[in-house]
Amino acid sequence: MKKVNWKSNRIFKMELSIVVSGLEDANFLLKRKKRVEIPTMKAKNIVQWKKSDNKKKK
Amino acid sequence: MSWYEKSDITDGQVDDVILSYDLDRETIVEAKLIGEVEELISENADKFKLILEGRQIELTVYHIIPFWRDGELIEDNCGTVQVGDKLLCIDPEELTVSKEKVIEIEVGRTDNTPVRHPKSSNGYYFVNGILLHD
Repeated sequence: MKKVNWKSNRIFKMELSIVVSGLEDANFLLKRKKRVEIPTMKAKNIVQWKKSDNKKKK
Repeated sequence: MSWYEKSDITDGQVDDVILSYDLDRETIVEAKLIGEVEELISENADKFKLILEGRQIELTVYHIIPFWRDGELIEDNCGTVQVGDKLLCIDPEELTVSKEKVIEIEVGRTDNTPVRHPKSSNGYYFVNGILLHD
């Protein structure tokens, strides 16, 4: 069970978030490479999108 | 050999599969980007650069981030993060995570600063290898 404590009473707007700093290589997401299979030994560390999607269809 | 590539936030496309994390199951998961990445201009808002060993992220105060203090998970806006708190970081090569300490925080204010807001299918994603809430 996720434990969440809200420590702040600040009012904030959800529509603003990440600031792009302009630094080289900054602010990157990690995107799956296309047509690349994750080796079995590593794949056990992650729930892959395609696999969970397939499970839902069964 | 890596199975994931760095993709600038501005290049994010709907349905891109990205690395994310499930805090309930404590496991790395893949999620999809949903919707276009919003681009806005921020003026005179508090911003915080959270600096860890070897990585950093700069956020406006409105951004929610999960962090650990004294072993307790907290999710709150980034302005509440303190030096010594730990953020969840990922090693995309090994597909492992670790909690790394914030060693410095630089505070500033936005000044016609472009901000981007990706949204993922499970509400979380890694930016610069650091887990954020969307």
